Parts: sequence; structure tokens; C-alpha cells
Amino acid sequence: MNVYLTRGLQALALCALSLPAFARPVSYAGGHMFMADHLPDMDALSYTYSPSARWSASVGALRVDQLARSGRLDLDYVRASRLLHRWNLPSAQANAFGWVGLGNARTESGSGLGRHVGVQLDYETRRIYTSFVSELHEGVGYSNRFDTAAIGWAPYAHDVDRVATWIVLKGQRSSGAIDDSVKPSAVLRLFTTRWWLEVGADGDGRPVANVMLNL
Amino acid sequence: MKILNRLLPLTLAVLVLGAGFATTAEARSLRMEVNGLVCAFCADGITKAFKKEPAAGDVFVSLEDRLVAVDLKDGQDMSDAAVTKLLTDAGYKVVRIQRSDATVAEIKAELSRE
Repeated sequence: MNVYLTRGLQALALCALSLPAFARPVSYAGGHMFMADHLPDMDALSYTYSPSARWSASVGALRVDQLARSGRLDLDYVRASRLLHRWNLPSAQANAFGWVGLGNARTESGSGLGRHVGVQLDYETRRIYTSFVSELHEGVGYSNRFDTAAIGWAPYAHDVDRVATWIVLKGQRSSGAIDDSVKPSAVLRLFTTRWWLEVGADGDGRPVANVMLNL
Repeated sequence: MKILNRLLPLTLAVLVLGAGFATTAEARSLRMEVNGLVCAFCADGITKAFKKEPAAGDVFVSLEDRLVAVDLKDGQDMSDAAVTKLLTDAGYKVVRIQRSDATVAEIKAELSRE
């Protein structure tokens, strides 16, 4: 059963056009976002400020384990993100984001400048959500690309005064990991105008979680 | 009698135009149909953007109705261009802007009855 579930999640995740393990990298003008992300082989913390609906600046820390060449990566970074394009449809919205970041990277091979670049595509209605995120990290002794596809379904169409509920399936792959296969996960996502919470498990039953505060 | 005949159309025109201006001047709220409203974060960003406007009072966003409604403070207004710029800068597409004699509270009540 677990094999079928895992394969099913992988297939769904790969079929999704999709998006994030992450929320959108740019908020509204004047928006502050605090985010914490936990995966079995990764932890991330970040703070993002958006001076406009087009740009944002972030500071954050990232830890990635189980990398083939460097073992573990610890990265403290600054990042600039840009909303490249938004398609506003009557009952849907699609976005293309891009970002670049620099920071101090520490691995078993040494420490030095770490750089990363990423893109995110998403499409969302009040009932369907898809996204795709790809992020390339390079530095002394490591080069990894993280790809995440997600597809979500909401059992009801939420409005502003209600908590939104989503069931999200994700497939994540790290090209530089010891095990570079697609790792599926399923999460329950709840969000309001102020906060976002995701909790679930990966294909091996290990917990995954994501929390975001929006001020 | 001739003078009266000449004055009558002019009087009617003044009354009609006057009534039109009065409607605009007395608008109590703005109703905007907006594309791209799909999540609570969208609504929060738009609400905060309008709250910075001196002419704006209460703000209401309905994802279901793709509606943004904003109370206008007494004697104040926002031009269509200003409203369009605000919503475009916030990341959304304005489809229609209407002025209404109903307040935001009345609009909310009307929608909740539908």
C-alpha cells in the first residue's frame, strides 16, 4: 500500500505544473513575511519585506543534509526577488517569479560565497492550486538544484472571512542529494489573511511543516 | 410665451446635468470589479493599500464576487485613474469602477442576502 501511495504521489506531483513548497516570494507593498520550513533533509528560516508588489528583499538561513558531495550545507543569505509577470484572470491568477541570492555557505569542503538563483511558476483559483519551483545553489564544493512541484485542491471555495483549507501533494527533488529521486509529500494547508500553516508527511512518514506569518 | 419655450429646454438641461453631478458628488462608496482575486493575501494587500488613502474609509473585498468596495469619506472622492493605479500597483486588473450610494456595510448586507 505504501508503495502504491508513494508512486501515486510521485505521479501526481510530476504531472502538476506547479508550485511551491514555498509561498510566493513577493508579497504586497509594505508586506512583511516570516517563514519557517521543515523537511526531513532541510530546514529554512526567512524574513521577507516587499517595498512593492513587484519586488522583495529577504534574509534567511538554510540547512540541507544528505548532499552527495558536501554532506551538509549551511547557508546564510540575502535575496532579491521579482514578480516577472502576473496574469490576472476573472477567477484565477498565474505568476512567474525569479530571484537571486548571495550568502555565506559552509560545507564539509570549507566555507565561502554561496550563490543561488530560482524561478517559480504558479496558477491558482479558489479551488485548484499548482506550482513549480526550481532553485540552483552553487558554492565551494557543492552544486545542487532543488525542484518542487505541487498540486492542491480545496474542498470548498474560501472567502476572506474564512480559513482556507487545501490538500497539497508535492514532489521534491535535489539533484545533489545522495538520494536524488523525487520525494513525495502530502500536506494539509490552512491559511487566513495573516498566517499560513502546512503540516503533513513525506512518502516515508516523516513529518514536514511550513509556517508563515504575514504582517 | 416664446421666452418660456426657450427657457424650458435650458431649465430641463440644467436640472438633468445638476442631478448627474449630485449623484457623483453624493457617492458614498466605490465598487470595483477586479480580476485576479483568489486568496486572502490578495484581499489583505488591497485593503491595506486603500487604508492609506485619505478619501477611503471601510474596505470590503469579496473573492466570490470579484468585488472591492470602499467607503468614501464625506465630501471626498477618488478619481478612476487613482483607483486604477492603486489596484494595478497592488498587482490586480480593474475591470469596472462604479460609484454607489450604498455604504460598504450596505453592500456587504446586500451580498450576504444573495
